[in-house]
Amino acid sequence: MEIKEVKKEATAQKEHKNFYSSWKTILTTTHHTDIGVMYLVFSLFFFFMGGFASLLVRYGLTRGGSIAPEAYSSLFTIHGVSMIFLFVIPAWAGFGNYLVPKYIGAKDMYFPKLNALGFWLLPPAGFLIWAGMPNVGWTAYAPLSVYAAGWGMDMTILGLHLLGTSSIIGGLNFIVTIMKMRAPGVTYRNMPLMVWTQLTTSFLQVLATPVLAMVLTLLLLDRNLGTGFFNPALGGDPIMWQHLFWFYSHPAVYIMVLPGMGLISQILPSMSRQRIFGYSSIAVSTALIGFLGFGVWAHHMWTTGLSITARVPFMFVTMAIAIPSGVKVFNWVATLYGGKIKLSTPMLFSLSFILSFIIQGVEGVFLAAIPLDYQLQDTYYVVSHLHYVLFGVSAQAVFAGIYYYFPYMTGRKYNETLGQLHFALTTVGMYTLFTAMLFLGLAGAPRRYYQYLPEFFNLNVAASFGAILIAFGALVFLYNILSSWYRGPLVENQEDPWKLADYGLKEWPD
Amino acid sequence: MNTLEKLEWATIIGATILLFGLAALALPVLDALDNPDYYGEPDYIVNVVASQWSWNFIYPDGSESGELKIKQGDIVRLELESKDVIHSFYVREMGFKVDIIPGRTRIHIILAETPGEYWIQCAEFCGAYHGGMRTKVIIEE
Repeated sequence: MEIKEVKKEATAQKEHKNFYSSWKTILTTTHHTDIGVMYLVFSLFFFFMGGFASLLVRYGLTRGGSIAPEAYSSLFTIHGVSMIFLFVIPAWAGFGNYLVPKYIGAKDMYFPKLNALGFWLLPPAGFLIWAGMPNVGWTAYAPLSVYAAGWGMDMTILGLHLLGTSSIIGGLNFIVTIMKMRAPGVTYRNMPLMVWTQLTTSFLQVLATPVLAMVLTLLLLDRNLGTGFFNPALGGDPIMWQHLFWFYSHPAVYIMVLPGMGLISQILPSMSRQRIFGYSSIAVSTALIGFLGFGVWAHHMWTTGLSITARVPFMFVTMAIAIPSGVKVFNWVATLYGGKIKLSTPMLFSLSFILSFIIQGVEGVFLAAIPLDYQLQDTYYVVSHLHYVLFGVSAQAVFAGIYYYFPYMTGRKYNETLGQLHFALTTVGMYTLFTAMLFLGLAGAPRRYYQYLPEFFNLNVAASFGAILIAFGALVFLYNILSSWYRGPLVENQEDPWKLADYGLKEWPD
Repeated sequence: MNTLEKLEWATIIGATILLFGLAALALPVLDALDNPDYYGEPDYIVNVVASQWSWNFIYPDGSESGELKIKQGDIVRLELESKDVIHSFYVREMGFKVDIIPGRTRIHIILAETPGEYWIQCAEFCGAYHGGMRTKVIIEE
C-alpha cells in the first residue's frame, strides 16, 4: 500500500515535470515550480532581446553614423527597460517562486492562482513595451517624456503598469507565504538566506512600486489630458518626476540585487563545502540595506539644484549603505576561508559576482560624494557603475543560479566545459566593457551620445570588443541550457545533485 | 567569539568611525558648494539659453553668440535657462555640471583662470540629437 502511494506520487511528479508538453498545461498551471520556470524562460528571452539592442548600440558607437540618432535613442531605451523590468526583476520572481516554497518546506505559494496571474501579466507588458519602442531613456525624465510624440510612450507606460501590478502581487504573495507557510522548525533564525533576501525584496516591491504606478499615471494624464503635473507653464515641476521616479527606482536597485545576494549566499557555502559564515550578519545586513534603500533616492539628483541642506543627509545615508554591503562581502569571503572549494560554473560566477560587487561599491561611494558627482554624473562613469551592479552583480547571479539549480529543476546535468567557456567569455568581456566605460567616464564622455569627441574612439572600440565577447558567451549559454535540458545526462539523485550530504550539508529542510 | 568574528566587528566599527570622520571633515566644505557669493561680486552676467539642440549665450551689452567667450581673470555669473526640456551644462575641465530645469533659473559662477578652449557638452538626455549638443567655452588672454 505504502509503496503504491509512493509510486503514485512519483508518477505524478514525473507528469508534473513536463508541464511544458502541452499548451493547455502551460496556460493553466498554478504550481510554483512551473510558474518559476516560466518566469525564468520569459526573463531569459528578454535578456537576449535587450542584449541584441545593446549590440546595435555598440555597433552605432563603433561605426560612426551607422545608426540614426532617432533609432539610437530607441535602442538604448529599450535595452535599459528590457534588462531592468523584463529580465532581472522577472528572473528573481522566477527563482523566488521555484525556491521559496521548497526552502521553507511549503507545498506551494499561499495564493497559487494569484501567482499565475502575476506571471501572465508579463507577456502583454513585454509586447506593449517592445511595440511602443520608447525613445526617452529608461528614466523617462519629464518634460521630455511629456512631449515625446506618438503612442509609443503611452504603450510603454501601460506595459510598466502591468509589470508593476505583477510585482506587487508577487511581493504580497511572497510575504504571506514566508510568514504563514513555514514548516515547523523553519524559523526566522534559521531559514535559508535566500528566503531572507526574498522577504526583504518583497517588502520593497510592495512599498515602492505603488509610487511608480502613481507617477506613471500622472505622466499619462499630462500626455493625454493636458494636466500640468510636470509642466512649469501650468504650475507643475519637472523635478517632481525625478523625486517620485527615484523613490521607486532606487529601492528597485535593491529589488534587483538583493535576491542575487541571496542566491550567492546559498551557492558559496554549498560549493565551499561548509556552512555559511555569519548567518545573522547577512540576514541583518539584508534588512538594513532594504531599509536604508528608501533614504537615498536624491543621490540621483545632485546636479539638479536641491539645497545643500537637503542633500547632505542623503549623501551620508548613501555612503552608510557601504557598511552593510561590506559586511556581506566579509561574510562571503569568510565562508570560502578553509573550505574545500569546488570550482564549478556556478562557483566561478559567484566569485566574479563578489569582485563586481566590490568594484561597483567603490564606484558608488565616489559617486555619492556631491563635489565628485558634479564631474561624474551623466557620464559613462555612471553607466559603468550601473552595469557593474546590473550585469556584474544581478546577471552573474542569475547565471550562477541557473547553473546551480539546473540539475534540481531538470534532473539533468549541464555541460561543465561549455559552462566554463560561457564564464570565461562573459567575465573577460564584462570587465573589458565596463572598465572601458569607467575610463570613458573619467575622461568626461557624457552618456546617451550617438556621436562623441574623436578622443573617445579607442575606448569605445574596447567596449564594443567586450560586448561581442559577452554575446558569444550568451550564445554558448543558450546552447548549453537548451541541449542539456533536452538530452543532458541524468543526475543520480535529483534531491542532492551536488552531493552536499557527503559534507553534512543539505539543500532543502526535512 | 573567534578571530574572524572579531575581525568582522573591527571592520564594521572602523568603517562607521571613518564615515562619521568623513562627515565631520566634509560638512564645513560642503557649505561652500553652490554658494554664488563665494567668489565675491561677479564682473558681469552672461545669460545661457539652452534649447533642443543648441546653446545661446547673451552678454551684458545685448550681443549673442553660440560659443561662450570670456576673458582670463573674469568672475562670470552664468544665469542658465531652458526653453524646452532639461539640459545640463557640463565643462569637464572645470569639473561641474548644472542641470537646467525648464521654469527655473540656475546660477553658476565661473572663475576664468586658464586661457584655452574647453568643450561644453550637454549632459542630460534631451532628445534624439542630444549627442550633437556641444559647443565651446573660450577663455581669451
